[in-house]
Parts: sequence; C-alpha cells; structure tokens
Amino acid sequence: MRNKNFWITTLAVLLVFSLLWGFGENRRAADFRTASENQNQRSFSDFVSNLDSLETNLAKSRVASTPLQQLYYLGQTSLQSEITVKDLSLLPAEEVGLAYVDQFLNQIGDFSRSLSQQIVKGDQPGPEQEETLAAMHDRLIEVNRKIQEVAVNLQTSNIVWVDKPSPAWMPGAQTAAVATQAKEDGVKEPSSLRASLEQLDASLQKLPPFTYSGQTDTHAVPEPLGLPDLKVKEEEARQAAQEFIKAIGYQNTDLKLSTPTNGVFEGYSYTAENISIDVCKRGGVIIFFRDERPLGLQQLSAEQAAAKAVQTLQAMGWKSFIATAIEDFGGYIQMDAVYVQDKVRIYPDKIRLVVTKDNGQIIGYDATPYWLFHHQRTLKPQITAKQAQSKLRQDVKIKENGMAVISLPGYAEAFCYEYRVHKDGEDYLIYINAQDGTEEKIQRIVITPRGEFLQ
Amino acid sequence: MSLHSRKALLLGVIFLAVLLVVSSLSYAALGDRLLARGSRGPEVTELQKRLQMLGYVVGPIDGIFGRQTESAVRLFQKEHGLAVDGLVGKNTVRELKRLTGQTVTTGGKAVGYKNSDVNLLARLVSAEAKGEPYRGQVAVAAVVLNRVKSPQFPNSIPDVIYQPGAFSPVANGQIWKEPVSSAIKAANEALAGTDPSYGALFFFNPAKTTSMYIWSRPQIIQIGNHIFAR
Repeated sequence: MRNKNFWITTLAVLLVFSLLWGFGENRRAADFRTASENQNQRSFSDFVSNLDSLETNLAKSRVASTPLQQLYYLGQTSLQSEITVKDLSLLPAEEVGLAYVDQFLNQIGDFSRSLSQQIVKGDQPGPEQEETLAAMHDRLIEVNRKIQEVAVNLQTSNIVWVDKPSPAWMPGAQTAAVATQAKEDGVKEPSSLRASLEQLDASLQKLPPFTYSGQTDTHAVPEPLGLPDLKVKEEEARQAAQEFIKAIGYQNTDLKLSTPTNGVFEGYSYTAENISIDVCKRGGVIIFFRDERPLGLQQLSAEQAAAKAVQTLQAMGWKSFIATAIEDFGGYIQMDAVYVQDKVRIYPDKIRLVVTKDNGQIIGYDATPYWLFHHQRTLKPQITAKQAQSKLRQDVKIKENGMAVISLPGYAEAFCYEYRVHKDGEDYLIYINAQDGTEEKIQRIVITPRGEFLQ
Repeated sequence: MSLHSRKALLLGVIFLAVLLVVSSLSYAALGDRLLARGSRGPEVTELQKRLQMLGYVVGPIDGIFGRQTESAVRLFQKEHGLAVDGLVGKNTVRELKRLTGQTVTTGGKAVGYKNSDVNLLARLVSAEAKGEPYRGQVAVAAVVLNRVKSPQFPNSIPDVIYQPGAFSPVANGQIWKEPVSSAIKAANEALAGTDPSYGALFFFNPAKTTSMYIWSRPQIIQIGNHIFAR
C-alpha cells in the first residue's frame, strides 16, 4: 500500500514537472514567434515606405529641369531601389524568392544609375530614354499601389505571413488558422502575405522586362565575342586537351571523358588523376583547367612564379600577355594574365591563373573572360596624353601612366589613359577616356596580406 | 649544513623561480621561440587563433599545443608549401602572420581585415560542399556571386546568402560552423572572378532534390554530386 502511494506521488510530481516544463517551452516558442513576427512586420513596413519614396523620387526625376536636380533624384532613385531589394530579401519567400519583383526593382536602379552616369558626362537623356523611364514609372505606380493594398489588408484582416497549417490546439493557432476570405465575386483573396507577393510576382512575370543600353545583367553574356564559329569533334577536342596538358608540364596523361557541359561554353569535359579540363566545342579552345595536385616546398617568389606562368603562356602561343593582380596565398598565387595590344592593356581580355610557388606550374586556368570579350579593336585616341593629364586634379602626384581598355557596367568598355596617382598617403588608379576626356573610373589601391588589391 | 650554505640554496631556488617566471613572460609573442607539441602559453593561443582564422581546425583555443593543434599546423604547412614538420618556427610564423594580417593603404595605414564577405561565403561553401571536389566548391561560391550580379536576386553577398529559403545551411544553422580551409581558398578564387559553373544561378544534388522548379532549369554542368543550372 505504501509502495503504491509512493509511485502515485512520484508520478504526480513528474507530471507537474513535465507540465511546467511544457508550459515554459510553449512560452519560449511564443516569444520566438513574436520576435520573428516583429522582424517580418518591420521588414515589410520598411519595404512599403521605401517603395513609396522610390516611386516619388522617380516621379520627381522625370520633371527636374536642371541636370543637377535630375542627378540628385536619379541618385536617390537608384539608392532607394537597392534598399527596397534589400527589404524584400528579408521577407519569407519560396526557394527562388520573388524573382520578378526583384528584377523589376533592380532594373529601375540599374537604369537610373546608367542615366546618372550619362548626365555626369554632360549628355542629357534622349527621348527614347525618357520613354523607358516613363514606362518604368507607370509600372512602378501599379506595383506600389498593389503593395499599399497588401499593407492595408495586413492591418485590417487577419492575414498571416506564411500559409502553414498549424494544429488547432496550439496557442496562436487562431491567427494562423484565419485564412481564406471569399470575395463576393468569388475570387479568392490570398490568405497570406507571401501569397499576395507571389501573386504580384506572377503578374509582373507576364509583362516584358525593359530593355535599354547599359544593362548590367553581367552574370552571363548572350554571345561570346571571341569564340571561333567552327565546331570541333570529340577527337579534336581531346587532342587539344592533351596538347594543353603537355604544355603545362605533364607527359602522357590518360584523359577520361565526363559529362559534357551545356550553355554558352558548350563543350567536352575531361578528367585525369588530379586534373579536370573543359574544351569548348566552338574552336576547340581550352576554357577551364584545374589541377589539384599537392603543393611542394616554396621555391619561388610570387613575381618569379608569375613570370614563369607568362612564359608558359607564351610557349602555348599566347604571345602578348602580362601578369597583373598578383595575390600571394603562400604555396600558390592567383593572377590575371592580361592581353596587350599595341602597348594598350586590354583588361577585359584576361586569363585567370593559379600558379604554384614550388616550380611555377600553372594549376588553374580560366580563359572564359578572354573568349567572352576578345574582339578586334581599333585603338586611336582622340585626345593627347597632355590633354588627358590636364583633366586630373592639380594636387595628385602621377606615379605611373599608360593606356588601357577597361570594362564598364554591362558589356560596354572604354579606351582610356590610365594613371596611378598618389594623394594623402594613398594610391589610386584614375582612368580618363581617350576619346572624349571624361573621367571614366577611379579605383583605390589597398594592400591586403596577399598583395595589391583594387577597391 | 651551515646557515650560510642554506641561505645560498634558498637564494638559488628563488633565482630559478624568478628566471622561470620572467622567461615565460618574455616568450609572450608568437615567433619568439620554437613551438611544438606540448608547448603552452599565450603565444600558443595566438597561434591557434590565427590558424582558425584561416580555417584550420585546432579544437578549443586553450593555449595548449596538443594533437589537434599539431595536425592543424601540419595541414597549414602542407597547403602553403612549407616543410611539414609540425613545428612552428620562423617560416611558419612568418607565413601565418602575413596571411592573417590587416589590409593597409599604400601609405601603410591599417584599414581593417576586409574579409567578412570571404568568411561568410566560405561558411556557405563549407556547409554546402565540404566533401565535393575543389572545383565544385569554387562553383558553389561562384553561384552566390552570379546571383549578386543577376537582377533576379538581391545585390550583396550577405543578402543573397541570407535570402529566406535560398540555402538550406542557413535554415538549419550549419552556416555557423567554422569553414574548412579549402572552402576559404575556394571563396577567394571565386571572388577573384573564376567561375567553373559558367554562369549558373542554381545548384542541386540530383539524388536529394524533388523540387520541380529546380529540375526545370537549363543545366550547365555536373561537378561531383552537384548539377549547376541557370
């Protein structure tokens, strides 16, 4: 009997403890839910108000009569578009996010930025650009209106963030369970904020994206400029790969064909022990090579390794290249081999290399930039070196100068005079356009633990 | 024993004790003495911190040169073309200090480490592709950078990585683990511009993915267990 009482008491005590524990956990979970709800609410409120001022700034930029005023509002527009994209990225979304809303907001930022750059150079926007800006504004008004509606719904009805069924007995289920409200006409209102945003995203998907010059979707070029048209067969590709590997310093490598690659650089992919190498079908050129062999003892300095790599390139037939952007990682270096035409550095046409410091062997080779951008260029400056130099500030000290082709946002490039200048204890690279004398680009040089780096 | 000699002995003991204390204090900076298995002290702590900064697993940072610290030193030496002896001498210290130093202006003014993006990117690569071939690790980093450049995604590395729902290591907390050294190397290579994925915006493991959307994307290349797609 006593024994039985003992067990009942123990179980009762345990039950009380587990109830208390469960209650505590539940409270904690509720706190976390509130914290994340607050975070979501805040991001969305930020998004709503920033989107609204984006729309206002874009409207003002269309009527500003002086270039300075126009520049100011376009600057605000591009900044505001970046902020709204950021706000949007903080909201709960599906795996792929709200791709079309993002794309639309990014295009506004992108376009207003390229217009600003044009105005800085003294060119007023043309009628076509004005039209694009007006069309963007029209679409933005619609998007803004829709978002304002969602914001009002969020306040007036019990809209939740994410549609997720939650058991009815759970505390907080009231808010999560309230959902679909059928409108009088029978159209279903989205029951969660995410669903509303996805609906907006889907409506934008149906509209064509804007096209304009100076677009900066740079992650993939539609058509490589440097690739030969002629397609090679597998045997020829294998031959090219063998020759390349021999030039790198390997004898008799047994290459295995692996899954072919698709897309812009469609081609054959081979592997050997530590090696993988991709050969493009067009022209049978090597686009990518990686050797993952272990590194030996450091024997060379970073500069010696870079020089050795340039020699290897020369032996392969890449005659006119120089080493730039050398970064020393210890056992190996990363560098760019840049093409030089008539003493002008063509920065877009580069081959990225990884070179060992044990014997200067190339273990990484990425020629995609070269094949994407290389083409015949006529390089005739319209202004003299003296005229270009007069565009620089008086208080900078010129340390080096030369000529270069640099890439601009989008696929554009500019032929420039390049100056390495010194001011207040820091070095900068300044580029003056060789055609019209405008200042195209400023880069700050800092020294990281691995070498000089451009910011 | 006479009183005199006892005094001398006492003095000797005190002298030795002081010498011991002073010597351990003066060895406070990394590089002042050869460190090896069994060494202890603040310079070992510094060694462990610097190794960890570069992604070498040293275990707890406790100022004791133990087995894990030794294998981290050996791996560091192997991956940096130094003699692999597990001893921390002049060359190892110089290389370690150089690679974990701050960025300076051309005039020599320190402006910070400037590596927070590299670190975050390396954490993602480490969590997503630790066991993958090195090329696949660079490609994962490149996908993040391609998204930064694409108008369909946010515009900075943290925004892309933390975009809700974008990467599973963020959702399950794996991203908070220290990155492995190969992931840091891969992140640096991708940041320099190398893209072995040829412009991919997505990657997935075909054995584990059922998402229709991801399968519908045009595939570019398979590296290790990952398919990279646009």
